[in-house]
Amino acid sequence: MEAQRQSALHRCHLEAQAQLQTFFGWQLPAWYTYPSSELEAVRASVGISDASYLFKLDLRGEAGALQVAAPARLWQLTPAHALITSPLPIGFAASASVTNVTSVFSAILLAGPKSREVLQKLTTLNVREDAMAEGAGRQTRLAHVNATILRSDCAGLPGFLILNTRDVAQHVWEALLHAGREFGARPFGMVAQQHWMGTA
Amino acid sequence: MDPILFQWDGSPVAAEPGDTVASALYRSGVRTFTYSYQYGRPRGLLCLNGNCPNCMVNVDGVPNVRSCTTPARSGLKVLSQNQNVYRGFDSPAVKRFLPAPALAESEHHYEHAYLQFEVVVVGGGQRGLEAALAAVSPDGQVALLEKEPALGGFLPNAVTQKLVAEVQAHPGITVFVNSSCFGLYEGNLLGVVRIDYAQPHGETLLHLRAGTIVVATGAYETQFLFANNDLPGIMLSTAVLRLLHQHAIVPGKRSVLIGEPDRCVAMQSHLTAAGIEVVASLPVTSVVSASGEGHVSAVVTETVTYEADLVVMCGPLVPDVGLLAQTRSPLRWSPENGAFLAERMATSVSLVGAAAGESVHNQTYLLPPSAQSTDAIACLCMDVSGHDVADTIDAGMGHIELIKRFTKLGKSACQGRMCQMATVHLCAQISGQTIAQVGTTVARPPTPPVTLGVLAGMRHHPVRRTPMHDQHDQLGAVWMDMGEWKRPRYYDPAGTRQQDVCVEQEYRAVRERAGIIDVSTLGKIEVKGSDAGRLLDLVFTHRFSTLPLGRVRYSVLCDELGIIVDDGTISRMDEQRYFLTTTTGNVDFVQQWLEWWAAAGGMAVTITNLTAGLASMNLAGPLARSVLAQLTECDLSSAAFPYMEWRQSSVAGVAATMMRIGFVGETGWEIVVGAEYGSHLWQQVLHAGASVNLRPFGVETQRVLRLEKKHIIVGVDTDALSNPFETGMTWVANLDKADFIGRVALARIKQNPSERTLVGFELEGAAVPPDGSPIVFAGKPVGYATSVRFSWEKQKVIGMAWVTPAEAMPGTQITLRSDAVDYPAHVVEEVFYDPAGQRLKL
Repeated sequence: MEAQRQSALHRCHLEAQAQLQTFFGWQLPAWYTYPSSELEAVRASVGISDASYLFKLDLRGEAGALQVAAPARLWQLTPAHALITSPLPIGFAASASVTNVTSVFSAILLAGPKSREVLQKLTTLNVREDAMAEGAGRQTRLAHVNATILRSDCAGLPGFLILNTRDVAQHVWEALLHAGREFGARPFGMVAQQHWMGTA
Repeated sequence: MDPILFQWDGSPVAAEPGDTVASALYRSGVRTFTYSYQYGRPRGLLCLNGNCPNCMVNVDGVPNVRSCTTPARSGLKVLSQNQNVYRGFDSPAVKRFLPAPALAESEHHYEHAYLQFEVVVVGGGQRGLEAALAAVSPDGQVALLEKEPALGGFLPNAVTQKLVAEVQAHPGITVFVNSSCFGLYEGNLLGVVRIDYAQPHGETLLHLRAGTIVVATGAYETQFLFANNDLPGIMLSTAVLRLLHQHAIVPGKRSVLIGEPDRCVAMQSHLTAAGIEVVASLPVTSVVSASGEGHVSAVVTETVTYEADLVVMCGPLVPDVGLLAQTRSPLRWSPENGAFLAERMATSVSLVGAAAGESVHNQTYLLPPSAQSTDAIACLCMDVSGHDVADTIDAGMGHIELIKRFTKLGKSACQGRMCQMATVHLCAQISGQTIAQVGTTVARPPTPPVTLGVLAGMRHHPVRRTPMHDQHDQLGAVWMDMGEWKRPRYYDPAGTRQQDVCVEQEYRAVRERAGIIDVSTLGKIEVKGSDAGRLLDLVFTHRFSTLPLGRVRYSVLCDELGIIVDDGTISRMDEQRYFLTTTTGNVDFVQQWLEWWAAAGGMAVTITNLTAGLASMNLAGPLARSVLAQLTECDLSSAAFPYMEWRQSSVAGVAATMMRIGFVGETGWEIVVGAEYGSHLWQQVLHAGASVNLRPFGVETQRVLRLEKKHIIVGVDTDALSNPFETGMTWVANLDKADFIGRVALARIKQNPSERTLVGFELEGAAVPPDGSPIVFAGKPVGYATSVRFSWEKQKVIGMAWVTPAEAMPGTQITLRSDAVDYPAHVVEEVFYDPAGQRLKL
């Protein structure tokens, strides 16, 4: 029997009556209502999407010599600590300073013109346009838990990848929806997510 | 437009657009808004500016709401307060009034927001508007805070209206109205509460981080002190101006003005223009008292009594320097201004306008003789009279801080705004000091008061869930909290709510067949690198650099005092890679501890917290092997896979690590997989276990099982002072390892007899006292029981307890005590279940 990989947000998707399909070997929501209206809502205001399938590598020390090619991305958190995210697994030389943390972190994509306003209700981190450039990564607290926030815009609209340890993923998902309620925040599925990222 | 209708003590009240609850009530004829807190004195509108306690009411269940700053909206349920104080608690008249709703779970909406601005201007009056416009630049954002619903300051005019339009149109200025700044904290952090009147009471706590701050909070008017100065109908001049010009309400027919001549003259024209007769203009020193029954009807001087239904106090203006005072900026008494002004400020904070004393020219604040009477109310909030203040000074407490603490003056809702001027001057007068010598009390945030709800914000507490959380729900888990983690205490699929029955069934499954428990909450840390072994040798009591590949060892982590901080298993995965487990909730500490000592020793090592990334479950019982064998090709025989070793293999189609360890005393394996496969694996194990009637078991069952084996739980059976010797960890006795953390302390502890020791016991009776019950011996407390449970193996209540060496001999009779009931017991040395440990190694 083929083992199903499940996101930490699986229950949230079930409760939102998502249409589940397999993406990159993971059970993920293809959509919740209609992909087109989900995408429209994100572009108009804000939405959240499960990106836990992302392959994630933790790099310590002077592994900064590592080059990555698109669609993988390197995020420098501190001079001696970086993260790599990629939609598909990438090969890496096992070493003392490289750790595969794909399973450790959930990833939630918060996207749309109002994403900053949602973040500003949950974290003291300065996420203003001029304080956190596209491609920047920050470790901070969000909704009372540790989080790594990576700014990942698409088509000129702001977007943030929020990484948390899996055990608090559902808490963060709920906190984002609660904070985003005044902006009409809704979850959007993989089909809309791939259109958002231009990878559909 | 629909009329605005709200309720006041159950009766309907109509309001006009722009009314506050106070102005609407006043317009409808209400003159007594509340009764004072201590003496039940009737109180009416006084300041209309949110600076006094007189207009406080209960709005939609929220007590102590200032009705003068609350916009009137349809549907509000407003109740008066303190009826019982006025009328007497047993008065039948009290029953006429609706009881205040009990404080309950609030429907109100509380949020937080964290924003950063280059410049924050506090105060949207003329000077604040000018400052905001002057501060804009291409490099930064400006925030303008205003506590009222609209910009423009007190009674806007053409000049301010033009400035308002400019500010609102400017893209570089963000305006916050209904936003009251209550505190200035270190690092230019401003605390602001913004009230959203559109929804049923929403409040947002704004944390504003500012580059520079401009304080333009203006000046507020304060009262005079004379006998019966607190009667309804006696108002500040600014309050009367608001009623006249903002709400088109005429507050009386015959008025008396009290104050300096210039102020009275200026005020008089407003009154006469509204058709109010002015019968007298008096300096406060000639006022003997105000008089009236429940409302002012006259002002009494030594020579004449003036009948009036409105008394207007043209009181002194107090620069609102509260925010600066919070930064411990010294306040200097300025005789020229007749006010306390803020002196030295941080370079990034500036003060403009009336808050800086501009156009504030109070003449000498005078006190009539009656200021020291029992009816001259200095502190309206706490009913502290001038007489009380004089008495306090006479008793030797002449320092302003002592007066405050002894009388409670200034400690309540108005936070000194109505009482400070009078009290400082009264104190100076009686004690013979100058105003500068008397000084002011220390100002601390929050000013004005804030609700606890808004400080708490969104009540969404972090919850940590394992990858199998949903499965436990489906199996009928009864949940318990372990810190932020949710764990099944036991399973109750039939909803019997009988814990003992469910736990016994789970217990029997594990002892007789097989059970499975989710242990994903335990910490899991990977330590790798050329110094990994060296680091572990340093922090644990065992040696790990020599641990063979494939082996698992239990060990204990001590601090420099030799105290047990944590325990867990350590597995050697590779030449330079180890896998550690910690107790639930302790992984952050252990990770920091490892990182600290690694850094201190300059060690080449990477420490990664994998707790959330791995799902782990413990499959245990005499039939556990037969279940696991269905899911893996790995040779599970004891010959090929002995106790305290690990193997890696595919289990249920998923790459897994299996560790043969046993906390509950049965043959068992801890199966660890990536968290994304946890749910799948759990379901496969349950499926495979159906043939032997395998049961999932929870934390409570595990507690019983491990107690029968006398396996300690750090933090339950050990406390903040337990060392390994007294806990019975004999392997530490050798201390033949090279230096490790705690070695020096342990060597010394070893030389001295233990003051206490952890022993097992059995109760004579069947009742189960709680964990933590004290142990009594010869009438004296000698320790406490750490864990107490009924054992199905021994058919007795068993447990572990700390006792002194005198009681530690096996067979010693001891007594547990709980709720004044004695539970006789005796000390037992042997492990309760399978003392030889054979069941572990089947």
